Amino acid sequence: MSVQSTAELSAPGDQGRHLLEVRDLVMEFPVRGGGVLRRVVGTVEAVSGVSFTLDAGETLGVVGESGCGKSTTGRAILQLHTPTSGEVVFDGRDLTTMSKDDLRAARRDVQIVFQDPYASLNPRMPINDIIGEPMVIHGLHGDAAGRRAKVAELLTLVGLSPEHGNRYPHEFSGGQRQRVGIARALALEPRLLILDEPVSALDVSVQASVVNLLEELQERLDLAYVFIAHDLSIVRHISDRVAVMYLGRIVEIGDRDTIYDGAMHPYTQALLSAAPSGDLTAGPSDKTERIMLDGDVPSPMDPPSGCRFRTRCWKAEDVCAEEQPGLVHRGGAPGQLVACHFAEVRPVAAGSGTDAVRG
Amino acid sequence: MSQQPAPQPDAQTTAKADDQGLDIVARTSGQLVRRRFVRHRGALAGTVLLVGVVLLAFTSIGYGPVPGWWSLSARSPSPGGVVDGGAPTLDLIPWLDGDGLAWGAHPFGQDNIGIDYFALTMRGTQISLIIAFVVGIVSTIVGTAIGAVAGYYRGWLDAVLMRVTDVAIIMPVLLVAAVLGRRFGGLGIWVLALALGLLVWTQLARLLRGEFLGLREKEFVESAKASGASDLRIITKHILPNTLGVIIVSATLTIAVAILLEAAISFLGFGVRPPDTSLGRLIIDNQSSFSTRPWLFRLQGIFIVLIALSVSFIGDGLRDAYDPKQNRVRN
Amino acid sequence: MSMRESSRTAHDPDAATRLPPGAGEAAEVLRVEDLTVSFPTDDGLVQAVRGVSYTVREREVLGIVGESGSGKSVSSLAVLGLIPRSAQVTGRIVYRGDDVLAMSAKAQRQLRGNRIAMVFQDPMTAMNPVHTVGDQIAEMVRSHEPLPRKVALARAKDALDLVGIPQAETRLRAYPHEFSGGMRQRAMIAMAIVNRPDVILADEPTTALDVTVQAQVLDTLLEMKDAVGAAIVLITHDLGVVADVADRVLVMYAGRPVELGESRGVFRDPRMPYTAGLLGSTPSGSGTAAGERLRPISGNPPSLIDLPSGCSFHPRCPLADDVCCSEVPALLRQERAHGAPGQLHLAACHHSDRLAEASDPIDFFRPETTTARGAQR
Repeated sequence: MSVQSTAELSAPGDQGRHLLEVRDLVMEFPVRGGGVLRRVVGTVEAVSGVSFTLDAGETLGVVGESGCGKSTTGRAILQLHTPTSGEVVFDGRDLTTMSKDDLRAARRDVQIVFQDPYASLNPRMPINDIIGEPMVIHGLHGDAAGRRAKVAELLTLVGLSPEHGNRYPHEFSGGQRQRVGIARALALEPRLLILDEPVSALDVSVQASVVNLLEELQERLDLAYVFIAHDLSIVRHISDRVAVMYLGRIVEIGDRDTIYDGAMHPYTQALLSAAPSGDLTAGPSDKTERIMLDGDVPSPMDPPSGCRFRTRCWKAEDVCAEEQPGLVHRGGAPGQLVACHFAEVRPVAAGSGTDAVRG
Repeated sequence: MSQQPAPQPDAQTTAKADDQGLDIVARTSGQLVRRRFVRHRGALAGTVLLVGVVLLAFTSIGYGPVPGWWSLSARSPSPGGVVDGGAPTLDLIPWLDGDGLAWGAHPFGQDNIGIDYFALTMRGTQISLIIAFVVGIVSTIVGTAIGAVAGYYRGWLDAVLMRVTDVAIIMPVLLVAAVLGRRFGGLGIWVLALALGLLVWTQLARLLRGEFLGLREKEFVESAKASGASDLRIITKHILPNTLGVIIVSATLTIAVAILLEAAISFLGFGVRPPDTSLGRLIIDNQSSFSTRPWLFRLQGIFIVLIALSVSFIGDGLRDAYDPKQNRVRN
Repeated sequence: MSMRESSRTAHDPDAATRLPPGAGEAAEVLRVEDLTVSFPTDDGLVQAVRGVSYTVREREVLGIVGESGSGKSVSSLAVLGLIPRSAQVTGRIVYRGDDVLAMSAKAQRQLRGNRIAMVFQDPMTAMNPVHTVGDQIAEMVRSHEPLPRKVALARAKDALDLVGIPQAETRLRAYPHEFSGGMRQRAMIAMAIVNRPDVILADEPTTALDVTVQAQVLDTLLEMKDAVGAAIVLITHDLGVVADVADRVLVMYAGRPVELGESRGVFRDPRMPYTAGLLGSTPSGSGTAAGERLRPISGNPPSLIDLPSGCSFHPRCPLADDVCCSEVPALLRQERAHGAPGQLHLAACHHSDRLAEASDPIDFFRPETTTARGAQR
């Protein structure tokens, strides 16, 4: 089953060329049965019709629960998974239709940092080789000495000492490995970094210093980030804009404060209210009212018709099962796109000034 | 002692390094493997034994044009003729006849036409070792290549290669080896070894395919792809080094198996042909002397067992040394 | 190097301050006194827990927070006797007046899963995949009470009902892999409460779950506390979760308790720089202003084999001075300007008075620039 998304890409009046433009990205994985022939018995639509844009120097936070397709989206942008359909336009050129050689060259501009700092570094390579390898592949910085100098520079940039270059990954702590992963991603001087849960595996105190490092690097190198995470408070801290994903689709996208303070999609509202309180001194007693969702996320092999959130939504009506709501502007803040037939800002006790608009 | 490239660590820098938890695990993975291997007593003993046997076999009678320290030939009868019925003059158990520790003219005895049996045994050991190692190397290369390609590319290539492997597995090795031996035995030991090597790669191929299937999904492989690395580079630089443990262990075990396999097919009469000889060949040639001249195959059997055992122990030690779970308790 | 060697064994008995019994509150069910756990390894002795003391009262939620390697999990596994035999355990674990460590193996087994139950982080690995969920819960009943299978299954069904699993009757016959993540964790909780324990040890019960499911499971856990009257020891690294559900919080660092008190008070007015540093590392819920940086703690947690002398936190602490390097700070009672007067607040820091005086203790941690620091490292 494939439903064409009719997303409106840009906020009104936004005419300039974006650094990254993802249009109707669909990513299906075949599900194979057992047996000798391993016939395809179905498909999982991990990403079904995702569209968004990103400008230079901007951070787009992508949040959602496991299985919502946020990591797959990140890998599909890089063409680590070949998308089933859709376009990934980076700097005016579509990565999905490029030849192998062109893609290799284009990858200089788009790099990725992975979640697991233990799995993402080759345990049999010293740090110098890990960071220097992308330069070897792309023939940058001349000879070994030139590369060595560049590696030392990168190590310093991410807060490690150049002497660490001779060591192997297992000699480093999680936070340091993540810094090495960032240095490797920066080796090709990219303009866009896909950050796939870059701090989820780290301890709180280490998390913060890596987040700071990312912010600093962004300022110095004018990087654009796609920051994929499930930790809502960190996404709020680092992002300019936020996209909320549910079961392979973006359900809401908009400026950070718009999403966190004036969410219009019921799922966004539930997600935000379910997060542990950010206010640590509030104590157990005075909690704001919580939206408790029933049940779990449906299987992506057999997603609900129409709006995919309807099975858990308290607002769901017949129309939600019949018609897939498009990701369009339905009132709210400028640039806020919501995929819900009944989108409205949820009345908060404190009374936010935003208008509640029905779509 | 940790190997730190940093200059003289005074109290200040040590504390700094400790901040980052670097002082504690400052060992390369190679050092760790070596350390764990040396700790494995069996492996250490096996290494000493194997090196000893190899040195003995190749220095004593020499190899090819290079002469050794043992003057008697493995090809022609000794100048002195058959002495004392060809009984061995080696005497390591002095209290039996009171002669004391003795080496003698023919420590391993002589065969029925008077060829020095020590020289002959050394020649046989050389051949057996060569066959075993060639089989080990050939099967490792073939198994690695097939396993790597199948595991990395998956899909139809994997299906085809694994079916081929399945077919190779169900072939009765001894029987096929015997047929091959009959066909190629006359072409010399190198061809024989090559043929055997092409027969016993299956286990490694399967093992390695499994390793590759797991490792290809690792994020460091993805990140290599993201930086534009070619398939060949990913396979050789990123995945293969991480399977080194499996490969080395499998190679040593294959060597042990090959020693026994050669002995078995030579015993059946299909392996090495005269005038060349091997340990298995020596035993088969003299099996009729079981009760009269046991020295003609007793020591040769012990040599086979020693080589197979020492290689097995080395493999055992290597497997333990490469097993990352052998690492310290993590917290 | 030598300086550290000499003080490695330093162990201040005062650090394990006994907690005075609560002033006429609910009865104490579990008391841990000066618990130490160490594991011998190839590289030396790993001192996982060094002198932890706490009490839990009926229907109380005690949160234990700390980073990986802080000993928070090991200390609770030790309570259940679930650590390797090679481990060296000292101290006292007192359950309703009886020392658990001094009990016979049989008596310990009777406590385990019956009076003291455990909820693990990953229910997929904590449940046996080849038995039905119903059988596993019933087994938990029958290993402590000689009941017919039918009766035990009926109790299992009640427990599943209680934790809010729909169609409990049919779910009894399902296998763990047929449950979703959240459902599985609820089944885990059902297994923990089926014998109506006095204490539930929950080790990162929601870490593997999604946010919306995490909220459900935490709610279930709290409801169960009230339903069966158990105390909960909640082990987590998530300060937000602790702030949401815990009455009191114990902060651990490198195997040692560094701060203990009513959770709101500890987070509002931390008296140990590590706690303050954790707060500074957490993005605030209301969002940070553009360009504002987090204030992380520099460096990494120490190795448990080669611990720093004095206060284990001193290499990373902005307040550290000579005293901190040489003397282990005792866990001392803190005077509190605000908050409930009866509430005990303990902190192990030589400079807790400076934290008390500061308007915002987080200010001690500067949002350092990484690149500048890179030059020194």
